[in-house]
Amino acid sequence: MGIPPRASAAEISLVLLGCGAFVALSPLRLAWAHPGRTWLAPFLVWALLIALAALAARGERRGRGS
Amino acid sequence: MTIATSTLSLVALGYLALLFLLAHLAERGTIPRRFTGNPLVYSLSLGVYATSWTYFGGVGFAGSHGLTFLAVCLGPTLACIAAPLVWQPILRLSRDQQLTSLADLFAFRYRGRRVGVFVTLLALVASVPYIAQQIHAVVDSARALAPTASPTALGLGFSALLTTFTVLFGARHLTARERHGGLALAVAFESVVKLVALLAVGAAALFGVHGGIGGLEAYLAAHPEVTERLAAPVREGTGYSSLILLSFGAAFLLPRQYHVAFAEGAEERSLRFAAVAFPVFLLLLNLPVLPILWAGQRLGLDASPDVYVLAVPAALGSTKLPLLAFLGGVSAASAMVIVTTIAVAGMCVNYFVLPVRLDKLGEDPYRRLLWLRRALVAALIFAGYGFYRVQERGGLLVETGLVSFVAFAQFLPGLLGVLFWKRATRAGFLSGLGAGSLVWVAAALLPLLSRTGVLPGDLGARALFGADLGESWTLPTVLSLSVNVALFGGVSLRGGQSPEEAEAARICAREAIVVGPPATPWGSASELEQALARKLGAAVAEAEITRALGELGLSREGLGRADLRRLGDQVERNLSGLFGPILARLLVHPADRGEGDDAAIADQLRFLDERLNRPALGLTGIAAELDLLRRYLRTVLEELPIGVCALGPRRDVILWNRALARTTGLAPEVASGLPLERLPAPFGPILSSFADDTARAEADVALDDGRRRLAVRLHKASLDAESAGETGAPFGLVLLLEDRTERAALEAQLVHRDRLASVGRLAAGVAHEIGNPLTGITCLAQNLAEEPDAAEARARARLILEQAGRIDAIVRSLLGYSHAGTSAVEPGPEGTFARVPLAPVVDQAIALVRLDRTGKRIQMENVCPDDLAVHADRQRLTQILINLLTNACDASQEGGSVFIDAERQDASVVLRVIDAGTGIPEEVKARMFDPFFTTKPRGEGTGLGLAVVESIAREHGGAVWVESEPGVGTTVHVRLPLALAPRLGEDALSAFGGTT
Repeated sequence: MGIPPRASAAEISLVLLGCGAFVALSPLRLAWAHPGRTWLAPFLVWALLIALAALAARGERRGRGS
Repeated sequence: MTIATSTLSLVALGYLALLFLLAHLAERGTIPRRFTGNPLVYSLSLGVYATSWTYFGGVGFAGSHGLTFLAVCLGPTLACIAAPLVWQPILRLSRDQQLTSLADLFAFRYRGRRVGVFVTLLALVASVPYIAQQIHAVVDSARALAPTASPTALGLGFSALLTTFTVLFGARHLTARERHGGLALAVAFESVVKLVALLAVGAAALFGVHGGIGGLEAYLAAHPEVTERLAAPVREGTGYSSLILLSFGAAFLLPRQYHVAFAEGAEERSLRFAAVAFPVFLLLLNLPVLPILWAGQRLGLDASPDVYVLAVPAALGSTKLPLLAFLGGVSAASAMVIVTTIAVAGMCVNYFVLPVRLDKLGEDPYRRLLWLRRALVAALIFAGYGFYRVQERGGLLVETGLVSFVAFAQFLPGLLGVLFWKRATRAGFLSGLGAGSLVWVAAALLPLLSRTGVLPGDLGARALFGADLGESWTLPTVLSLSVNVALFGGVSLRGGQSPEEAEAARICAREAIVVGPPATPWGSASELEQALARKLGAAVAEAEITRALGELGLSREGLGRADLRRLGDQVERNLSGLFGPILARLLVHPADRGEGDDAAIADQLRFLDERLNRPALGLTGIAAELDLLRRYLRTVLEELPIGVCALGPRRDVILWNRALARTTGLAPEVASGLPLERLPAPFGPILSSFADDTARAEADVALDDGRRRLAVRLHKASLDAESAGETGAPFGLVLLLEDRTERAALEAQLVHRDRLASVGRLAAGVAHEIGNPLTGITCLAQNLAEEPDAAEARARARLILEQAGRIDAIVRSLLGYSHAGTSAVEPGPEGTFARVPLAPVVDQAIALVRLDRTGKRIQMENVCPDDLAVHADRQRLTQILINLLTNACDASQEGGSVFIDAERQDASVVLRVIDAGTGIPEEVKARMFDPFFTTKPRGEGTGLGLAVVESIAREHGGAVWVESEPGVGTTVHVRLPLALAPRLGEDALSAFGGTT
C-alpha cells in the first residue's frame, strides 16, 4: 500500500470550508441559535470558524514551504 | 443631548485632516514602508468591508432580524476559510496579469471588452445606492446629535470632503503598479477608529446600562422573549442562509474589497495573515451590537435602533462618547466611499472612456487620465448624494446595502467559472450575468426605489411575485442567481470557446502560462516605441519603453527576438495597470499579423520554457505531470556531455546546453534567442554555415576561439513537426557539437608514432643508399689527393659534390617526412592545408619507399595526371601514400608491380594504389582499419598503417575504401578534396565539404 499524497492547501481549504458551512448553515445551527443558550454562543461558533480559517492558512503556508 | 452642528463639522473636518496627514506621511515615506506594508495594516484595510451598515445598521438589523445580522460577517469568515481556494488564485492572477479590478479579471478570462463594459456597468449601478447609504448614515447620525442641522448642508459637506480626500490620495497615482501606501494606511486607521468607537459604546452600554455582564445575564433571564426574538430568524432560516451566501461573495466581489485585497499589490503572506485577522476584526466589531441593542431597548429610547450607537451614550449623559461614536460612523462611511469610488472610477475609465477617447489623450495622457479619474470619483460621490436626496423615505439602513450585495452576487457564478470551470464561455457569462442583472433590477432595485419613494407605486415582492418572505433579499437572491447559473452553465455547455478564451481558461486554472501573441511584429525597441507613440504620444511611449527595459535589465540596442518579445510582454503588463488588459493588448499588439509562422513556434517554445522554469508556478493535474516530465528531459539535455543546440525554423537558438556553454564560453542566457549567425565568432559563423549546408550531416572542424585551439565534430538533425504529432511549420534543427580536441591530439600522436615507425623500417635502406655515394665520395677524395691535373681534379670534385647532393636529398626527404608534423589542433587549421600537386608527392613517396629493402624489388609506377592537385597537408598526404605503398609492396610478389593513379570525380580526387598481390580475405577486411590490427609477423608491423590512413583521410574530409580479391590483388581508394586553380579552390572545397 503506497503512501497517500500530501493534500494540497486548496484541498484542505475545501474540506474545512465544508466543515464551516456545516456548522454555520446546517441544522446544527439550532444548537447555538437557541434561546436557552448564552447570547455569546454564536460568537463562540464564530471563533471556531476563525480557527478553521487559521488551519486553512496554515495548510497554505506549509504547502508553499514544501 | 444636543451637539452644535459646528462642533460636529469641526470634529469631522479634524478627523479627515488627520487622515490626510497620515496618508501624506505614508506617501512621503516618513512612515516606513515596513509599517504600511505590514500584514496587520493589510488586514485592517480589508475592514473597509464594515461600512455604516455594520456600524450603525447592525444594531437596527439585529433588532428586526435577530441573529441574522451575524450572517453579514459570517459569510466573509467562511470566505477566509476558502482563502487558499479562492483568494490566493485571484491574488496570483491579479499580480501576474496586472488585473486591477473585477472588470479586468472577467475581461481577461472571458476575453472581451464587452465583458469589461458589462461588469463595470453593473458595478456602477450597484455602487451608487450603496454610496448613498453611507451619506445617508452620516447625515442621519449627525442629525441625531444635532437635530437642527440641514441635511443638505451635511450631505454636501460630507460629499465634498470625501471627494477632496479621494482625489488627493486615492487617485493620486494613475496606475495600480504604484501602491497607494497612504490610502491603505488611512483605510486601516479608519478600521481601528470604528472598532475602538464601537467597542467603547458597547462597553458603555454593558456597564452603564446593564451594570456589567451579570446584569445583562439577569436582564436576559428576566426577559426570555428577547433571546427568543433573537434566535428565531436563524432557527427558521428566513434570510439567514441566503445572506451568508451573499456576504460570502461580497467579501471579495465588492469593488472595494477587490481593490484592497488584490489590486494594491498585497503579498501572499499578508493574505494568509488576513485570513485570520480579518474575521477576528469582524467578530470584535459585532460583539458590542447586542449589548447596545438591548441597552437601547432597556432605556426605552425613542430613536430608531439604527442610531442606538449614538443614542445610548447620549442617553447616558456622556458628551465625548457620542462624538467618538459619530467619528466611528464617519470612518466606516468614508472608507467605503473612498475605496469604492477609486475602484469603480478606474473601471469606468478603462471600459467606458478610454476605448472611445484614446485618440484624444494627446501628448500628456498620464495627466489627462489622472484628471479624468478624479472627475469620475467626484461624479460618483455626488451621484450617491443625488440618489440619497431623491429618496423620500428612508427604510432600514441595511436595505440599500443588501440590494447592492444581491447585485454583486451576480458575479459569483462567473468567478467560480474563472477559477474552476475551464469550459465556461464568454457567451455563457454574459448571458448569465445579463439575465441575473435583469432579475435583480426587477426583484431588488425597483422594489427598493419604490420603498424609498423614488418610484411611485408598490413594486415590492408581493406585488411583483405574489410572495413576501418577510425580508427583502432572499427572493431576489434565489431568483437572480438561479437564472444566472442556469444560463451561464447552459450557454457555456452549448457553445464553444475561441482559442484565446481557451488559453485564458487554462491560465486561470493554472494549467498553462501566458505565451502571448504568436509573434513579435516589431523588429526593434524603436519600432515598438513608434507604434505606441501613435496612440500615446512620443513622450509616454519613450517613458514606457525605458521603464520596461529597466525592469528587464535590457538595453535598447541589440535586442534579439526573444528580448523583443519580453519587452512587449512587459510593456503590456505595465500598460495593463493603466488601461486595463484589453486595451493594453490592443496597444502593444494592434493587430495580430497572422504570422502563425516559424518565429512564433520558436518564440512560444522559448517563452514557454522560460515561464515554466519560474519557481512556484503551482501547476496542477496533467499539466504538473507533464511539467515533471519536461524537467526530467530538460535535465538530461542539460547534463549531456556533448554540446546541444536546438534551433527554431529561423535558426534562432532555443536551447543551449551546459556542455555547449563550457565549450564555447557562451552562457545559455546569452545565446538563447539570438539568431545563429549573430553568435560571436568563431562559433556563430561556423555553426551557421554548417546549419545552412544541406549536403552535410556531419563535419570535423578545427578552430581557434582566442583562448585555445579546438577540434570539434558537428552533427545535425532536422526536427520534424510531424514526428511530434504536429502539422505545419517545421520545428527547426538540432546541432550537436562534440569537443574532440583531446582525442584529436591523441590521434595526432598516433600518426606521428606511425611515421617514426616507418622511418625506423626505412633505416636499413637509408644506410644502404647513403653508403653507396659515401663509398664513391671516399674513393674520389683519395684519388683527388694524388691527381696532378687540375682539370681532372675539378671533374672529380664535381663528382664528389653530386654524390654529396644525393646524400643530402635522401636525408632531407627523410627529415621532412619524419619531423613532429601536424595534428588536428596544431599548428592551426589554415597553416598546413594547401594546394598540393599530386604527382610530385607520389614520386616523393615512391622514392622513400624505395629506401626500404623490400620496396626496391617492386616496380612502382606513378601514372597520376600532372595537373591534378588536392587540398591537403603535404606531409600527411605523403604519409598516406607511404603506408599504402608499403602495404602494396609487402603484399606483392618479388618483381611485382604497383600502380598509383588518380582521377577527378566532381569536386574530389580519388587516388588509387593498385597491386596484384595476395589480396585480402573477407574476415580481414572487416578489421583492417582497426588500430593495432596486423596480419604481418610479430615485429614487422605496428598495425597502425591503415588506421592512420583512414584517420588522415577523414581529417581531410575524405574517405578510404578497399576493393580486394584474394589471389588477384588489391586496390585502395582514397578520396580527397580537389584543389582547382587557386581562384576557384575555395568553392571546390566548400562544395566537397572539406575541413577548414
